[in-house]
Amino acid sequence: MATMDSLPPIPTPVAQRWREFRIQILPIITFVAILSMTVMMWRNFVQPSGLAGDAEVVKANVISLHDGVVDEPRAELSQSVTNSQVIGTIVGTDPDVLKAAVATVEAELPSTRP
Amino acid sequence: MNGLDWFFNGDYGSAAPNWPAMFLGLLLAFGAGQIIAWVYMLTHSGLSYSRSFVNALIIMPTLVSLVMMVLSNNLITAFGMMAVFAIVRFRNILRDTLDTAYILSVLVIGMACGTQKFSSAVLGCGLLSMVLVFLWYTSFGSRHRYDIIVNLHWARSMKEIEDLRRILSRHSWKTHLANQRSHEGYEGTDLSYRLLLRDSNRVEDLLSELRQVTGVSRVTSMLAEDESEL
Repeated sequence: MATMDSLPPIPTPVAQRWREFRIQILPIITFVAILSMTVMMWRNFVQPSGLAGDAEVVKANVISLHDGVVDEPRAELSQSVTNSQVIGTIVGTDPDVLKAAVATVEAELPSTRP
Repeated sequence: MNGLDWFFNGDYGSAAPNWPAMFLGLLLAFGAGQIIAWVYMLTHSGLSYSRSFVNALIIMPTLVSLVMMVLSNNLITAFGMMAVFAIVRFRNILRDTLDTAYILSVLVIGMACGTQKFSSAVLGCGLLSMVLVFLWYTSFGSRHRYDIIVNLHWARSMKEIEDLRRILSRHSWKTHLANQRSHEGYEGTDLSYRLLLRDSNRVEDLLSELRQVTGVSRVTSMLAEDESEL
């Protein structure tokens, strides 16, 4: 604090002021600039090296109300399907035809015995 | 970035370089080194303080960061580097830590060129040079800065020293009484001041004004060069 009888300071040349600036202030300005660039790059480019998460598997059972053989499957393995989408065709077998075939075989059995 | 693809494609390492990560690593090392250097300057006590060592504290993290990037987990290159460094160290006595940093700098740049990491070599050379010029230009690490040492004899009482201080404050930003000597049977006090001048071209004006103060005699001065604190 200047006292009442303090003498006026002599003027400081620009070169002298610049010397003080580059020695005292410039390192701080440089550090702040580096810190800002580091924070900016850190936020933009640093990514987590690993990822943790939960995986949920959705399962659905596809059944047919009638007996038969799958014919012309229309979906590939691991293909996503939606509700009411046709994914295959079941070729059904009539029970009366089966009974008739069994009866025919049974009728033919005695004639084949020696 | 597309315009600089020719430059960033100049690395033929085993793994593709991540340029933003590399730049971030070098910047972070530089900033962290600056913090460590400031802490060292603040906490160091004793006579062994060295501005050159403080500069080495800043350049070393950046340098080591570049070394690790160039090595990129290659054990053979690492052994080669240590061998070359040992040969250089064997034939030269490096008394200054900063000299060691310079040797390490040229080694890592040579390694980068030899392992065909051309972009890393150019980037590392540019950044290291900028840091070294920055340290020189800002006189980083100088703690006790002063332009001149003024010795004088003060014949009056020390209670009246304010008359002298007014003259010193008029000519200097900072005034530090480095030495004060008086003994029995000796009239007055010998004083030694360190001054950071407002205008280093007006030293004669300062000395002239000091000689006009009543009680001041035997005024001598000694200019301090930048190299006074190594």
